[in-house]
Amino acid sequence: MTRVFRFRSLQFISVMMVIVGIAIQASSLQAGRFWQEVPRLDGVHIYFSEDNKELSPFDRSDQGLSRLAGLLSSLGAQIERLDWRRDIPADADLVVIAGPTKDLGDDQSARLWAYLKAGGALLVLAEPLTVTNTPEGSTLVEYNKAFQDGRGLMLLTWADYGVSTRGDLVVEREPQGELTIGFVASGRRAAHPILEGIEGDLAFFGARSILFDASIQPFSVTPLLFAGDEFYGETAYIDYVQVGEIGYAAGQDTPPNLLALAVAAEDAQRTSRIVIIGDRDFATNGGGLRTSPPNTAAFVFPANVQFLLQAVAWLVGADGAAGVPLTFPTPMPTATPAPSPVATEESAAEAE
Amino acid sequence: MRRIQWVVMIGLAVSLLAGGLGVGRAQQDTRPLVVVVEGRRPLDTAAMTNIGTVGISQLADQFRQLGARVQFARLDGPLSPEARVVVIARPLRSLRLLETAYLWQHLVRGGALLLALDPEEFFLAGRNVRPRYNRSGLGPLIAQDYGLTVGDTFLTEPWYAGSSIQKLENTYGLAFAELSGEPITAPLAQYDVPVWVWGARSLAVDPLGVGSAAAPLLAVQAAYAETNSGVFRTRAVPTPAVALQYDAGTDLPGGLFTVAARAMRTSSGARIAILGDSELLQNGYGLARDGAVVRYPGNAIFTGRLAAWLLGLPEEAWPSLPAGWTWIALDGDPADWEGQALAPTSDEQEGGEGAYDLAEVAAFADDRYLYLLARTYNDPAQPVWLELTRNDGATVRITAEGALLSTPDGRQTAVPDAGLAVGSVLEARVPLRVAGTGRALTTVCLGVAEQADARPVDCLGRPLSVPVARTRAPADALWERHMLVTIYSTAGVYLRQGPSTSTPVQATLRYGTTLAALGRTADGAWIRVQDARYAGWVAAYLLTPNGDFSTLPVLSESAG
Repeated sequence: MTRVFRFRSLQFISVMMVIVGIAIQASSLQAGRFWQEVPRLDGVHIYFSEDNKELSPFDRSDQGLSRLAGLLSSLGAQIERLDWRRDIPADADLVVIAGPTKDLGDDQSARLWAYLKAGGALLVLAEPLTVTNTPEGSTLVEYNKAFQDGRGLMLLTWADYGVSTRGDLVVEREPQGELTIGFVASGRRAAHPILEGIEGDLAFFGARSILFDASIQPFSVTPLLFAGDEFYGETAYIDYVQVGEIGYAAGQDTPPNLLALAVAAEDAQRTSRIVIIGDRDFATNGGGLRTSPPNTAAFVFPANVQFLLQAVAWLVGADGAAGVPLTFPTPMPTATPAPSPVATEESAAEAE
Repeated sequence: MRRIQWVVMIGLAVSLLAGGLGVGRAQQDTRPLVVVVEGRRPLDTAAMTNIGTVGISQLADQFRQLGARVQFARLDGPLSPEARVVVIARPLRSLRLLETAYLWQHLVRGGALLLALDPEEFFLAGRNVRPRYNRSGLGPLIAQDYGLTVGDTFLTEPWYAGSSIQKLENTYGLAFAELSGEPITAPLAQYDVPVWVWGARSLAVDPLGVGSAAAPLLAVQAAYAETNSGVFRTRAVPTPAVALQYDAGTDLPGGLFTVAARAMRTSSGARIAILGDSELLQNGYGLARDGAVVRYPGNAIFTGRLAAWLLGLPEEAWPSLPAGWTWIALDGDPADWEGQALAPTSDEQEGGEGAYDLAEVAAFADDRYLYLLARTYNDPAQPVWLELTRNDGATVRITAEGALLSTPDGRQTAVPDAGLAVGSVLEARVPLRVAGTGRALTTVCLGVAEQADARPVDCLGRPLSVPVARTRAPADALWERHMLVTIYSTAGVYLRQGPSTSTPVQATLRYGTTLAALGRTADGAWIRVQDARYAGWVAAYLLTPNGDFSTLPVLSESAG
């Protein structure tokens, strides 16, 4: 059941500022030795779905993907908008479904699955929560209806690719009882072409964990990134926002070991490939592709950029193609937010 | 040395065995594969392995006769890439995403799908049909890409009642070929042969779309399309709370409703056929047999040709008219008279222009109709009629609109189910209850319809012999416009002259005979029935009607 909580937008913004601040501090340590060499994507057609309230590759706001799309385009890829009223075009090398807040219809899932089984590739950015600013000035936080565990498209990807999203939010419980949702993935990493050459930390801004089956199967699954052992998958985060005090509940929450944040999978013939990332802000202009100063090419989280480009290259089978070096200016932190409680008893009381 | 010999012999044997196995592996079955989805889970469909009433083993045999191999499979995993046709008949459960995805992948690969659905909540053998097709992903996909939309409707005849529709055997009716020139239904259209259905839902067909072409195949003339599935009982609710009645604004008003359609993707070659009724292809219903003869030839022709189309066979290989039936189309073309045992009567030329001068007349009868073929010395330029004279002196004047029976005592009776067509020859069809079952006619005359005195222009100078063919008429012209009753009694049922056991028995009707119900007695105990061969009264309790007898008009006991 979806639970809804409203709280003052200022408080929510302060939470996000905390996340950004932590991430900037972490990434700036490595910014000076940042360099990129990624394969070119000439002739690659990438289709973005936008019918289910996904992030748009043409949106230049903080919630948009225009920077990712611009990078892909500069590497030679052609960016298209997917028309769900017909089958996915034969020239589609990759379909991107970036953080929908409305679940895909069965008809869309069926089209997508048929496309995958015919050798297609899919990049999914899954979002655990949806945040909506209401006209009354409050912010509405809900569990995301898209990509629910064991339903819709995830049912198919679990059956045939051994990968699905979980209905949780990866958090760390601070000693004071606060739950941290923004972090850098510093846990174990797999040996995979997508991760090749990536040395910096990868920033997440609220992720759901990815369920995977890496046992001996007709498909091949590689968990790419893990949260640290101090994190677990909270399934009642809305309750936390409402009540302000919640902890790990065994049997209900996802245990803290091996919480995958991004997973790559391919079928036995290695013709169709999937990458699922548990956080859509991992790739947004205002999240993983944030620049500092704003609107420059100085990416705050260069590893996120490299990860995304190499993921696309692997998905379209261009990971062995000739590389092109990309260099970006060193980012300069411009925000120094003060920590602020995520939710207080007062705000919880107001919500009631 | 002996040891070496043994080794050589064993090696030879092994190599022969391996070679044999290798050859076996190399031989691939190139016949097209038809996969019938069956099993309690996930969809609970009619099964090809079921040779009983609700099975579809007869359909599987039709595919085999067309050169296909048929396998059953559960739709709990992707379909084999070898599958050419997938059959899903009467799913009782809803199509979920997994099934939708597997089917769609099959279609994207260029496969074919035969989907036979029944109305939602339709009560079958103690269970309700719940395919929830339009709530599944498959409905929108097929509507979008193929132009076929399935209506959540139940096609209702004027004589249906809330009580009568609760039994499947009471909801049979007739569908006819759409006049779209479809080769699949061409023989049905040419010979006016119906396809039997048992409770159907409607389809909407959008014939033209980007990359697709669709066509309706069969249509039902219904009073209206009921959209509230609450009219059916369920296991939990034995008495439906919703009345079966036309509700303006929600139900679809009466007219012709498509109940079967086909569509094709031009890019992939994928083919889909959707039937709004599954019984039309089940063993005990549409594909039932009386011994070696199919009971409903229209259903056998339709499903056979549909199967051939789904397999992508060339049209020359499609099954045509089955043996044991009379195939005479009223079209003025004598081509389909070949093979009939005839004893034609010639007539001398009278002189003049010859357009209304009979040259030769032939006739034969099957179990329901008398068929006449007349040639004139020249093609007639005006509408004409034929008139036959029975041995008892009664005459039947046949026009394109019907016939008029005139008996020697002066009574005249309209015969709407007779017909005449003029082409290179004159062809007439007269029901035997009017033409009589005698082996000869006293004479046959020709007249011009516009002549005021209505006297014949020319008559045969000799009696006309009427051989009786051992074939059955595939359709009855009366069926289309009336409530139908069928004899489902294993013993013969008496057809009586009047609505009483004291009246003479005219005939004994056998199991499976279907007649039109024209009226009833005031107490409803007797039903006036008629077909091309018989007319009389039958006790109501011996009949299985496709409606409620109370909707029939009350007739006087002397009717007929």
